[in-house]
Amino acid sequence: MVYPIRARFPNVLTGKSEWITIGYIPAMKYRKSATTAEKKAVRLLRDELLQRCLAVVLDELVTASADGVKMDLPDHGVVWAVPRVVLYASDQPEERHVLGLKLSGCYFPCSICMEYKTHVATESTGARARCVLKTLDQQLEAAILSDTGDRPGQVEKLARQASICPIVPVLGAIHGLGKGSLSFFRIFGFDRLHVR
Amino acid sequence: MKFLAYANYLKHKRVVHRLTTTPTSGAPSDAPMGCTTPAAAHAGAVPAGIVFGAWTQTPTAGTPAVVSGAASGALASPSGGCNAAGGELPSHTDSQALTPTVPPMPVAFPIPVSTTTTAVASRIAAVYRSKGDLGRTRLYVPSNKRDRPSDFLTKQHKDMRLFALSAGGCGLSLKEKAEYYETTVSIERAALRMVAEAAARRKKRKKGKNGKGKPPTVNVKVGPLESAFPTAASFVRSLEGEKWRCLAEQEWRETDIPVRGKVYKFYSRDIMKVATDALTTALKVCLRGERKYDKSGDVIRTNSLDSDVYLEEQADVDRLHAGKKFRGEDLPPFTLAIQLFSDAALVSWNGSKLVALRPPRAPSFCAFLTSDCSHSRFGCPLRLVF
Repeated sequence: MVYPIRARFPNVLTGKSEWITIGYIPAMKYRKSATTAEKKAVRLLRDELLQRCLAVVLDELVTASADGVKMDLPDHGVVWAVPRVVLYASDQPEERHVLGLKLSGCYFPCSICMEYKTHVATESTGARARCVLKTLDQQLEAAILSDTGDRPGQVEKLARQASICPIVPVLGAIHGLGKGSLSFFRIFGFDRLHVR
Repeated sequence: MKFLAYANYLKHKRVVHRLTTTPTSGAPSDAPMGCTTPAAAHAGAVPAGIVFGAWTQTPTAGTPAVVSGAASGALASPSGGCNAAGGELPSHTDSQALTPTVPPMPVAFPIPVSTTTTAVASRIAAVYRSKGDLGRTRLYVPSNKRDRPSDFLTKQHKDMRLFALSAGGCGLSLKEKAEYYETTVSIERAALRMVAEAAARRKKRKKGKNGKGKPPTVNVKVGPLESAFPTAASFVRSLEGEKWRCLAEQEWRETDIPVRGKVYKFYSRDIMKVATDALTTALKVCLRGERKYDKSGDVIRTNSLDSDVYLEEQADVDRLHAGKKFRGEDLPPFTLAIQLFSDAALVSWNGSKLVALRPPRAPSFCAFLTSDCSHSRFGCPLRLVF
């Protein structure tokens, strides 16, 4: 069982301006009688697989987003195209998966700011924005420690501090998201066509 | 200092943080605040004394916690050390005069990471490249099936191919393909017979000795479909070949991804090749976006190319890649916007009934992002793309 990942290029006005399938990601489901621990393990496995699939499909983009590529366009001649990801259309659960953040059971359920969980249903108290680099750094540290099996307490501490999973989001390697203008947490949203 | 609730503690931290970072309030809200540890803050080429001085100048810096931090040789803020990008810290003129003496950092002081923007992104890329998934990526179509010439040459044949391979989403089954061929061929034969009979009727009868003459022979030709594919089996076989040829043309790849002892197959295309193909074959392309305003001066958003994110990226690209040359001529840079969408989960419906959506100013089916994050009555932050 697979599900597709698609891309669209808003610069194209007439032509292939629709969503184009660029990959089919393997899907994973729980066993019917899975325990909570098994479900947690499957969720982590699913997150890791998703990131590795994205890493394969976006590998060229990581380089091109920093250096750019030469393109010969029919009406504009030779131009220097610098690709940047400006939208990842997803709902909130998928957003948390792609960002490598915890979906539930965490102190900071907002992906953009560090509002505490008890404040998210009240008037905003003006929490500070979630720091892109710090979060990525913590995720890197947690992922490396988790892979090697060292210091589980430190992994747990990092997860508690920033509501992260021990998964490194590959989108952070793209220029404009994890470096440059640091729009990492701002690109998520969903098309209103999908809103019921 | 003890707090009755964790939220109070957070509020205290927030107040302290805001006061200490006031001089850098001009920085964007998502500016990198990247010091994970005091050691990393110290490693950011910033004089530690200035940091300490800034803390001592703030009204809240006189709390016992700060004093104890200073006494213990803490080099960054007690709130976790969230400073400006690249270790750029508040410039406080008075603080430099009051800079206390900080003991020198020992050589063997552990510095876990350098949190500069390039370092984190490069390390993420390095982490995933070290997994070796790209090395296991190969073209999905085997070489013997890749260069087979197509049997579908005319437009009618291509239309039939499109229908057979895409009807119902995943195309017709083998049996349906054969039936489709039989139906089409029978129609083709009937049509050609009618044409042949009409042509025969139009022919002038040659009268014989008895005055009646020989009846004209009906010469039915073989139609274009039957001549290209004599049997249903040949049609079905050709379609199978077309599937391979199409996948080869689009350069679909197959990757074996081993995760925790199990190997998963991942099928993908190179996104840059897809983008190049889409742009070079487009009839109309827009290379630049610009901010639009209405008569009252409000910002109008009509499509993705005038969204905040795209315009910021465009400014960044212009700054970084201006002045490119190609054979002595200017190579104008442009920002190629990419939107991603996955069908992993559709929009969740959490049962909430108090959702109040903010109507868009300029309704459009194109997507752009709102850049705010506002927590309100309905709970979780809702960011819509209009």
